Amino acid sequence: MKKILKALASVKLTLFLFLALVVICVLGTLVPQGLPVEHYREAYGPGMASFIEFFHIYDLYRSWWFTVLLFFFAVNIAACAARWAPGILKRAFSQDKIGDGGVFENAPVKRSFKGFNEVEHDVEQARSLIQSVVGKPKVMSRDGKTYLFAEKGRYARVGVVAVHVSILVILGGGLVGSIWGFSGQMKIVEGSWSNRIELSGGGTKTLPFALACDEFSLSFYENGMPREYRSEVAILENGERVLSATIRVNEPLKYGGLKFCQATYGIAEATGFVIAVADEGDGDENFLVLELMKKVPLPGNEVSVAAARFAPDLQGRGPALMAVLIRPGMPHDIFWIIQGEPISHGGYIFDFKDFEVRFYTGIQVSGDPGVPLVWTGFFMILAGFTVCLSGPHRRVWVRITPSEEGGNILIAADPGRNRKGFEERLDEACRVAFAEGLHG
Amino acid sequence: MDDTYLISITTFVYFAAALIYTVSTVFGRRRVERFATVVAAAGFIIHTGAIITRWALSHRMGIGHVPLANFYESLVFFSWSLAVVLLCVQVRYKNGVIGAVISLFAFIPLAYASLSGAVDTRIQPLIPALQSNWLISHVISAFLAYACFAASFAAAVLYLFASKPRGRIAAYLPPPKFFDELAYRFVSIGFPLLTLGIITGAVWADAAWGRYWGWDPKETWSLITWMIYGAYIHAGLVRGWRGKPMALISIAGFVAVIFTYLGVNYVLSGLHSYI
Repeated sequence: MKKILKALASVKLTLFLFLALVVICVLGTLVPQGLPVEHYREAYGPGMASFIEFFHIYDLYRSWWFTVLLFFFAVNIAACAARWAPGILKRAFSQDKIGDGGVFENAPVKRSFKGFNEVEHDVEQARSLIQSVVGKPKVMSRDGKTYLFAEKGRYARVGVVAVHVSILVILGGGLVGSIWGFSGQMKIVEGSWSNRIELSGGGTKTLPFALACDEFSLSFYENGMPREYRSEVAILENGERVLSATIRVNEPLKYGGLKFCQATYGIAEATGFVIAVADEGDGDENFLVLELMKKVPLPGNEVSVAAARFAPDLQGRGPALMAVLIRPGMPHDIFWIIQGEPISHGGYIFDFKDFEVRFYTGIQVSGDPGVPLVWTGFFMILAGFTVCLSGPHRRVWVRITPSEEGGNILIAADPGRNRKGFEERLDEACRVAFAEGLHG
Repeated sequence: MDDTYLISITTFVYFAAALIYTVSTVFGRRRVERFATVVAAAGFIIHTGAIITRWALSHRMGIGHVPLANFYESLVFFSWSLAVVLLCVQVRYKNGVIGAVISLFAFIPLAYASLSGAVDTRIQPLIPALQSNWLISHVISAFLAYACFAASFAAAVLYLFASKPRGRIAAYLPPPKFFDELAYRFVSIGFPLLTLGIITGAVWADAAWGRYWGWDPKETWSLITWMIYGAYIHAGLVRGWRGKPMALISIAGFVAVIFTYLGVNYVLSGLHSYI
């Protein structure tokens, strides 16, 4: 049992898991994720495709074995924490101020030398020595001996623990989200409402309230780049408007534990198509307002025009109207009129001027009860790093023992990190404080 | 004055600094190395001036925003971050070799941005997805992290040269241990910064797209980078790895950084189509 715990807490396992996760993540960005199976058959051939299917490579990050790896990652961290955290916390929260825990015998850095044969003076010198390497010391006496102790960065290692525990918290938040969370899209036409979410994993979900879209609007900068997508929405509870709000990109609406983000939009329907029809013979121009599947006669003429279909974006060339030119005794002439591109047909020039649209807004809906945990983990990891970076845990103990030929001074220190640099500073400080009597 | 003009000046100044650092190393002159740092600092001031000018210009155009929003601006800021790292290193270590390499690194993105003609240098308005307060903290932390990793990469490569017995270049270099420790130190600062960059990105993504993590290629590659440096720190701190294997991980980490920054946008596609 102990052996297993030790293996699970080993950094060798950590390095292996990092390597494995890196390889899998790279694979997941090289093979497109979440496409229908046919795509992989076309792109990689049937043999490779069945391999991809068998190992869930088409949806790697949600595959069972990726989850297993993440589980081991969490277990590895937890085992490490179980192994090291108690000692670290004990050291951080209990001070051995006079060093009776054996530091004067076992500390990584030790110095001893003779003092000035005058305890008060020795204490003063030791005090300034400690002050210059670590900070203000506490002075204590016991059994005729004087002890000084100072430390800094007491919680540095606690920071390390916090960083590791925070990753567990974040993974926990991810787990909660993957079990109880959901996400999907709602499409709501201007002037209507909906309570149905098309879930991103397939299927639908019905909300206990409804979201109404009063208006969707979009605006552009002078150079044509999009400036704003905006939905004016309202929450309906039992048919009553309880809340009106604006949803913009980066400014979601939060309601009922769910988040509503502006994701997409589109044209739900178009009406009132205005076209200009100019007679190529006499240059007479008429403006017609068409509706779908309704014949409109040209003034003073047997000829009439109808709109058969509307395309919001015909082959990337913009909005277009499929028009039908109806002349007596002739077959119907059907053609597309693209906005901004007048077209000549049957002796007339047709120009698609304008139309009215009703947009639908596409709202991304997500409910993720794991988010607070993840945020907590984020906060912990940043706090942990801040503590770690603010310096190592450094402790210095001094014991002054009065004796016949002068105070015997013993220094013990635990530099935590960067021992070489610390020892250089300590020795310099010792030279300043006790110019003579240094035994090394 | 146009900010792109100031950037072209900065480009040359960084190149000059790299040359002067090299000269100081080859001839072993301390004062020349100090002079190179003064030149680099002058370049940094012009560089900062260029960024502020661009900011002011965007406000004058009525589309004011911090210039951290397109590829050109990201290259300029990457170089600026490298200059910050360079000056910090020189204040602390005063080493001509690492100075030469990092100034060269600061020069490269600027040279590409302003001299190649392949990058659109115009000030553009902010598209809706970028109109967020998270933009600034996310970009700054990510690029400062990238700069630290670039410096670690430089130190790792120099370590490999310095540790070659009887290497021709090694004769001009400080002992390999110096670079080994330097490479580690950069990662120990870059790693928390990358963590901050990922976290600010996650919080932002939650507000913009309704989820804090979505395995988008940019997100995934930032995690890959994070895990490589995570492995680096554990190998060094707990397993006591030193020298060549550590240098190789640092190099691999920087390859991942470059892929996160550029590769994802040019090789793969995803939501993060603006840099």
